Amino acid sequence: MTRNIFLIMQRAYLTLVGTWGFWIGMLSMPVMIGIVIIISVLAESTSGTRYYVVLEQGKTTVADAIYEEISDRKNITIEEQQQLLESSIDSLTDPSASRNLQTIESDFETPDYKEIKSPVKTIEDLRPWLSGEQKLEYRQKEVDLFAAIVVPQGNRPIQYWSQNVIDDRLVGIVRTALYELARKEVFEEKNVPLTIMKDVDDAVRKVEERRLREEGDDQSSEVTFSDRAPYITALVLSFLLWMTIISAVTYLLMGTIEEKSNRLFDCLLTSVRLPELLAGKMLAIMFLSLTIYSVWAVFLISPFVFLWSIVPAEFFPAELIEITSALLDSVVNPAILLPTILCFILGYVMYGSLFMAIGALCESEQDSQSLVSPIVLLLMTPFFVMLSVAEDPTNPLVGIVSWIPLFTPFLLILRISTEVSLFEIIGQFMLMAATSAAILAGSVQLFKAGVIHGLDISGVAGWIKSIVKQRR
Amino acid sequence: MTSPFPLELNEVTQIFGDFMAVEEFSMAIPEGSVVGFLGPNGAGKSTSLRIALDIISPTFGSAKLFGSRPSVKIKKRVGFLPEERGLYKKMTARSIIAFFGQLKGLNRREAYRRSEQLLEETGLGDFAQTKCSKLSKGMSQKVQILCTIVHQPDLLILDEPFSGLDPVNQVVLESLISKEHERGATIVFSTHVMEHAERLCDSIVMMAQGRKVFDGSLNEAFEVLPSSARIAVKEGTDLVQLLASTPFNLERVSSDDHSNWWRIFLPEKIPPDEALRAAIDAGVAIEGFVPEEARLRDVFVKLTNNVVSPENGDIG
Repeated sequence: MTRNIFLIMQRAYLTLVGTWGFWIGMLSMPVMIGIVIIISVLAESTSGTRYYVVLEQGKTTVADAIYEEISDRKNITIEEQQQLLESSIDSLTDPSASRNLQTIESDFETPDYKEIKSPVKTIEDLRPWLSGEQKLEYRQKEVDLFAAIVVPQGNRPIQYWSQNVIDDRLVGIVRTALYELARKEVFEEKNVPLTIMKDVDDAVRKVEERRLREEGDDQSSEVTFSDRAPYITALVLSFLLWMTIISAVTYLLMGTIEEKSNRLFDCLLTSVRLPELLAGKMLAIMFLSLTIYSVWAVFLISPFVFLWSIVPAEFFPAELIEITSALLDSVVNPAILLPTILCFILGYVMYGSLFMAIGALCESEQDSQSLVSPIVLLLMTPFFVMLSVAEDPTNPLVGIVSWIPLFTPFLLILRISTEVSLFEIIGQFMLMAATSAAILAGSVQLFKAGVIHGLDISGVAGWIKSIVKQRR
Repeated sequence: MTSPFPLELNEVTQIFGDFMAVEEFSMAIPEGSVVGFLGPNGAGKSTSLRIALDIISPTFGSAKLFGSRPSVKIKKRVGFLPEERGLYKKMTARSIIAFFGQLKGLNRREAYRRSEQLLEETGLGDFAQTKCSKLSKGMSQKVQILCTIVHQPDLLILDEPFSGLDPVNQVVLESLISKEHERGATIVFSTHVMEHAERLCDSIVMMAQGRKVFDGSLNEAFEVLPSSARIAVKEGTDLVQLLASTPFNLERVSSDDHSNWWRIFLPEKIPPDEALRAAIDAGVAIEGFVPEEARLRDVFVKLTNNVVSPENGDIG
């Protein structure tokens, strides 16, 4: 029996791995990521300098404040870079950290802005330059005018003119500059020393995040990245399962349609049992998915391993080492690993057998479209649930939805790192196992009817009726 | 326990919904024989063969292979070529034959060795590494047949093996079947082409409308139809009058300028030369005499016509 399963699996696996489509599909992901990184780096380095003019009606300090703000942003300190790294990690779980990250990221991304002398005095006269009909001259070369900042006298609003309404970074700089300017002016007016703001910052009491530990756990109660790592791991694993299922079911469906349309089942079924055939096909696709993930993992990890091998350990930031080891620890944590494996198996059996049964009813890919669409829509539901509750898997609604067996594999993994009761875990596993068994049994019958008796989509209703009639 | 019958069907009935595909059908294929399984389209041949191989379970009755229930282990001794057949298009000819060989229990090395050997023997050696999608229809059919025999089965079941083959490839297939028989395999094949059955079979089983209409040797099949001879007599000869006292029935066939042709139907076990002697004794002026051999096609038409009327069935 094992040999037959192995042979079926080996054939399906090697046939798929031997196609150009598989390699293109597999390698396109890291290549695409690489291209995106290269393009974003290039975009940043080629965004060039953007030129603006300030039209001040009378003597103001606005232009100076903007210039100062731009200069400040260019000179990001080492501490700020460190803060960015920490915020990147915290933002995965903490929304406030995410906001903080956006602020700092925008500092990094700010292109070079340069103030240039306006050739005219009013915004009406500046129209040809703002619209791009005319160029400005800067150091004997022609440049485009990106924006004009009109500063009226008194307290009237400052106007920011630009034809580019998408890029709002310069207007953000202007707002920050005006805030700093206003603070400075008010402090001076009230005779408050400017250093007082730093004193205020220094005086703010720190908040330490802490949590309860198990008795006997000598770890500090302070919340560290290690506490958040299991959740991040669970989130990644649930998305991975979803991706595995959505890609694997397509292979299963197409493979079954090929075998049915090529009339291969009669030959196969004189050599192997139906369960062996199904198991072999499902295992093949599972190993195919594992192959894809392994290759992706190699692409992801190899640069780090390479760096690790050539750069002395002391050059790596302690935080990075801590994060890496916390993530690895959470991946091999049995409390996460075992339920994840079970969810993978049951989820794969549930959806895989369903798609194979659909394939058995179809003679062509066109036939399959009408049946596959509702199931793909069904599969999209847990994906959107995962997306919407990524920041709060303890949401009671997720707890309720995760009792729906078709969604349980994804949502239980997502919730497994939170405080889920043992009753819930066991209950959901039992329900999921029962549903998987029922779907598998039904799919086997449907598969049999499709490949042996030639049942097609139009005959399914009649087939179900005949089964009900037989049972009665 | 060894059974003298590699394939047995006992009182098999198969009902699909309201349609009875096979009705109380029994057959036992003797070891070492070549059996033609004949019948019009929709007679239930393919269904019976699929029941024999446990691909479908009969509504009633049972099937046995080599005296046992057809388990996967037992089925490893069987080679089956289904009526509707195909190949994995992305596999090479060599790999797919070896794959089916391995499924039937051959080890990897042996499966590949036999695959290459069979491809060479059938003139497909140059196409061993060609993907099945690139093979011509005839080549694909040859490869399908090689997939069926690669493990040297004890029982070979071929469902319409000649359909779609050109005359040259039909001869190749006939020779392959003969070789398999010489090797010791028991062979059952269904066909519409009676000439193949006449050339290859020891016995035949005929089905029509799900029921068995004949089961016996080829000679017994010919006995279903009376033997005959054609006789040409001079214009104006009253043959009916002259042979009135003999046991022969007569039928006028045709006439030309000089003579009339008649068919003399020979009663059972009476050879044509006795009819010739009786005509000479009766003083018939004989201008020609041709003994006629019964053809399987006529037997087929006669037997299936008893069951299938032109209104309710194709007797192709």
